[in-house]
Amino acid sequence: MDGPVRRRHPATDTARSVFQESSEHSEVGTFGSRHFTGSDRGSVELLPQCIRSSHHAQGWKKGFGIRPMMDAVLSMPSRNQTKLGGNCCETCCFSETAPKDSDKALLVVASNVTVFRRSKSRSGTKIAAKPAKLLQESKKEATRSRQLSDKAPLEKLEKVLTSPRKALPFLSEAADRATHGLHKPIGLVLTSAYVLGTACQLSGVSMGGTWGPAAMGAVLGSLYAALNRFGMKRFWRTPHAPLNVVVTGGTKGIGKAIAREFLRSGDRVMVSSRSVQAVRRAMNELREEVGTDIWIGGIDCDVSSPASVQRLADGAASQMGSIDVWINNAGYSGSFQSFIDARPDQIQEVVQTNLLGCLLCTRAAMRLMAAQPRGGHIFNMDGAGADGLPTPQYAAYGATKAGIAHLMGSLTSEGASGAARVGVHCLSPGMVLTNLLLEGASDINKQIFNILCEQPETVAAFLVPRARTVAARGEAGRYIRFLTLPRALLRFITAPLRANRFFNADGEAVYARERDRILGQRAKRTERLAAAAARRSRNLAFAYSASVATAYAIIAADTLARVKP
Amino acid sequence: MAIHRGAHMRQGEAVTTGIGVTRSGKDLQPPYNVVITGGTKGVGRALAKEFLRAGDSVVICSRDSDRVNGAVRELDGFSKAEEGAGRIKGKVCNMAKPGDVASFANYARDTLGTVDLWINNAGSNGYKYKTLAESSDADLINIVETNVLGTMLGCKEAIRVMREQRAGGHIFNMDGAGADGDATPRFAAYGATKRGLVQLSKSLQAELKMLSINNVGIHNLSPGMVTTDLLMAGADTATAKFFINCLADPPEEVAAYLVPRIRRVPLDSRTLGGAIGQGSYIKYLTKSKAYGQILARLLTGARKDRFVAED
Repeated sequence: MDGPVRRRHPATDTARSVFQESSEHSEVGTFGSRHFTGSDRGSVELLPQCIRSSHHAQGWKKGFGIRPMMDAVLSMPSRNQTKLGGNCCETCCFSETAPKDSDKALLVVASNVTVFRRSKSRSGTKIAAKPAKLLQESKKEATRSRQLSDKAPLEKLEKVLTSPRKALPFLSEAADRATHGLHKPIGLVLTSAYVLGTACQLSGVSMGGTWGPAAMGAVLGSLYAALNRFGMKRFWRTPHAPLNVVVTGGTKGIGKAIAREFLRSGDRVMVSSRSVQAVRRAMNELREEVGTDIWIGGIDCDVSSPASVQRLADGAASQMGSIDVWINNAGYSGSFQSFIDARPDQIQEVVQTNLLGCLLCTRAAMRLMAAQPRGGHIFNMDGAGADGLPTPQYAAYGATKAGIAHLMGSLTSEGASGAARVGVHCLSPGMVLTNLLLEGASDINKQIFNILCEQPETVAAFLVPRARTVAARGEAGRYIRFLTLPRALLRFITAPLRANRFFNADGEAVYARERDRILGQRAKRTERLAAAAARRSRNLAFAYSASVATAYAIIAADTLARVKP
Repeated sequence: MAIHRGAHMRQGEAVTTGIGVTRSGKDLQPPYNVVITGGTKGVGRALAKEFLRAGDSVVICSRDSDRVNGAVRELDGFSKAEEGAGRIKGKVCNMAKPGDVASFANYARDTLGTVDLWINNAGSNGYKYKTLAESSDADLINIVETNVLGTMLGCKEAIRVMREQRAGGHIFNMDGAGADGDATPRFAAYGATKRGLVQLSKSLQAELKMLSINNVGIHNLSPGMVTTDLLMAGADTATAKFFINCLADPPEEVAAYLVPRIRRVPLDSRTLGGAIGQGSYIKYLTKSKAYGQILARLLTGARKDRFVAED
């Protein structure tokens, strides 16, 4: 179906923006405020919630909806700013802007900005009728509560006593909030009690019998859990408003997983990739996986072309209003082969995609973010070689990643002298089981992958909350690493536990496909792994181990002191 | 040096063909046949002159044919005037173009007979010092393609030519600011590319070992700060001027230091078995030397206003 023309800005005229493709189901996405500048029509600031559905497109074609309102807007003096929307009504319409210039069209949506809601109605009239209906309902509610307060106090008291939850809903809500997830640290409490109790018994020290140390362990475990719970709320700052995120190369692998994770956190995400089909497919899959009440956009972009990158930046800025987080994820590894055998065009592509692409995207994002009052944050993906260690079999890839990791320091000190707060950071995903890695991998490589690799979802679940915290706190120059050296060593020590995790002894893949992992039978497991990765904290883990060890030391010292006299 | 084209070659004997010495023996011995990419100005040109003076034959290249011709004419004049100097040739080559680099490598091999030392010197920072946000498309593309892609293709072609030679050869990559991992504000892209090159040398050393190609060595050269156009374009702040005066040296001085050390590499890096051992990293401006010069400057005011007027 031929959707409404939505090219709004001369600069984005050539953009093959697939975000706006018309779909069968009706969706709602919040746009935030933005300027659509029609060159000859003045500018209209929109606070819209875009409702996309087939009926709207048809309605637009037929010319009903709030066409009169649109006409009013369009007939306004040119170069004039008009503010539409706010909390007026949940309606939308598409309209061609200038009758003279049919190429420039304007999408006008006026509705509540902050609320995400999915429109289920199939006709424009129904939508228009909704606010009135809501108003009626709220009136009814008001009269009901007045009736309640008019009742005799005794009757009210009786109701409170018989069913307190119903009578005092705020109480039960508070209780729910307080008790939510309290069962989770049970394992931790029991383990701590068991560890400390057993350790004391085995080593022959004791304090108040067997149960003393066990109780102490339990107390320690629960203290740690409480601290963790408090820390999660206190230190894991979430941004005040949903973030506007751009993920380059966000249609597969780790990029897609990161996009998914941001979407689940309620952020708006723009994914890009070289092919339009890949972008469209990824958008559909993400909608299916996360839910339809999300804002997701997509623009095809070749990161090694300055014009294409500029188009992506302009498109993202005009569709999302501002860009808070830009993730330079697009990368190419060539394939797993010696440098001497690599084709020159492969080397060229590696250099242009990884290093030049990263530089061009970073520059475009910096320019945009420097002009924004909120600033912004750029995250570059590092990779093997970023630490400066040799990377035989993918020499070109390693060299580019070493360069990318180096970029962070330079740009941070460049930014320190500037006025705008643009943070440049590094995300280190470690080894992720994606095509990038598996291309040309040998059987020995695959056994190593069993030990060190993780699925993209797990890694993204670790990286995204930390990236969001960085954005919320406005930090500069953070290096977020999933696979640190101690972690890698630990994995090698526990290697037998990880045998056949992804590949069996013959090097055949034994892991579930992405769809199965996200939506299928493996979804639960994926979620569990992701949750474990997200809450990983080195400092807390250290604090916990140290406190258990200290408790043991105190008990031992106490026992010794009592034995002596 | 006499030129005997198509001279009969016997095993183990050095025979001249083209402008260089064609080696059929197993050992690399002076005079060497040297390729210097981007050898028409700055450090590259100074290196070329120094090699010529030592009696080596040199092939240089540049993107610009006028620059190649000019440099070759001037250096040829020098080599003719100087007693016992080597010969020089040049060719136009864009190091970022795979086809160009391959034909340049073949040209060098045909002209020199064998390629003993290959110095990946071509580099650029766009001759501008700006923040990344201010730099232009052309600059970024130029920096990445010349520094990274150019060096990679140079290494690749040099390895291709050298591994077929019995005596092999040595490849030297030029590092630059940022190679040690320190931040390089105002030339972030340049620093990132140079950081990548150091890592590349390590990867290639590991790869050659894996493939048991033991007649090709990969090394790094660190010229430190050289008063070339590349550096002097950045002499616009007080701090930059201070450090340029304090630490930089003219290309001739740097080349005079580097060339004898480069020429020792073929002998020094050979293991007892005859294969090429560890890669070396020849540094002109070491950390301790740099700190010494800064200290001398602060204490005695040495080197003040040496190249650019401060204050």
